[in-house]
Amino acid sequence: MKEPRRLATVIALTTWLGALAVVFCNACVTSVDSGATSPLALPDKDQFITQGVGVFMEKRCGALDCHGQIGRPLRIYSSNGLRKNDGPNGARDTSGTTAAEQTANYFSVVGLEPEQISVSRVSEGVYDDFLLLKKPLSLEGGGVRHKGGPVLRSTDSGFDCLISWISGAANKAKCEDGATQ
Amino acid sequence: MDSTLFKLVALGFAAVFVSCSDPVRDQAIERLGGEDPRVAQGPEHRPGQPCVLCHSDGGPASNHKFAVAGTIFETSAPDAKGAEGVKVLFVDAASAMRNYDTNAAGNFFIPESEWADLTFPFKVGLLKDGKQIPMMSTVNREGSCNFCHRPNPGSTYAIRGDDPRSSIGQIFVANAAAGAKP
Repeated sequence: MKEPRRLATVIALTTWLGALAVVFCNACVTSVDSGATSPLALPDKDQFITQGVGVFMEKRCGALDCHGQIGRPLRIYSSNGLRKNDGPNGARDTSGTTAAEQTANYFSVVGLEPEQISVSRVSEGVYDDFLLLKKPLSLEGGGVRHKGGPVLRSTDSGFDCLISWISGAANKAKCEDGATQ
Repeated sequence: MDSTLFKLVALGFAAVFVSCSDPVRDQAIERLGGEDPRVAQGPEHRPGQPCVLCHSDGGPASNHKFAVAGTIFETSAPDAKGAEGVKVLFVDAASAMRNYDTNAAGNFFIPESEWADLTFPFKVGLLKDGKQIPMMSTVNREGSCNFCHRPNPGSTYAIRGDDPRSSIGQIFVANAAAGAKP
């Protein structure tokens, strides 16, 4: 009497495991599309690096007690903050911010909400509906909760720096001014 | 049966109490290592280590909570002497100002009770022998200066497994004209 019951249990377990395997495999197959391309209209990388947007972000956001930390979603590298690599002999890298770090910062910034930034750029004018521009502002000033509190006003040069870059023509003077405020 | 029930309830309470600790903080404190037997636990202990880690709510020194604390060394060398008598000046986001002097170990600390309404970010600078050394950036949310300015490698108080990529190095005052890094 015991044997048929054990057999039934084994069959039931096998069926369940098989079903689970099918579900997982399907999930894997349908969630990956290696041929997909992203038609996102992201802000320009060269402008980010050459027009001072990156430096502004390094100085105003990239301190070691803010976004200059490994665990931050918006991670910012800089010469005076988090370094991407060690220096010689495992010591701290004391060189200026490297090209690799500047590039990583760019992808960190545009990767925060790539679709939303892209949509805002395509809509040509509505640039204030994503985290990059909402996080730095106070709640009263149209921002959202930011653990570091409000760090910019919409009238600050730094805010103009970000807006100008996103709109396609980064204003270097504003970025430089914003970095020192 | 009563005994089993009692054990289960006791186990439940134990689980709740254990889960109240902060494993991230506990691990960070463990990495600081033990006390230096040559230095009594007090204002001059653990120079260079992040003070507020322990001196804050939930920390093992929460009976002496600090708003801000740190260490100034004479030079950038490992185990450099603490810089005594350096005036550390603060201006917070609400324009409140404070200044404190470093002790013989180079340590300084502002008890939380003396600046309960400290508003981040704040600016800080040093005054040593009439020379001003302002910090280049603001302090945004961390009360331990030594969280970012950790002891340089090779120091007695260097943190175990420290990652030099995330420390700008200890604060020092020597060669200020050549670019000290407070």
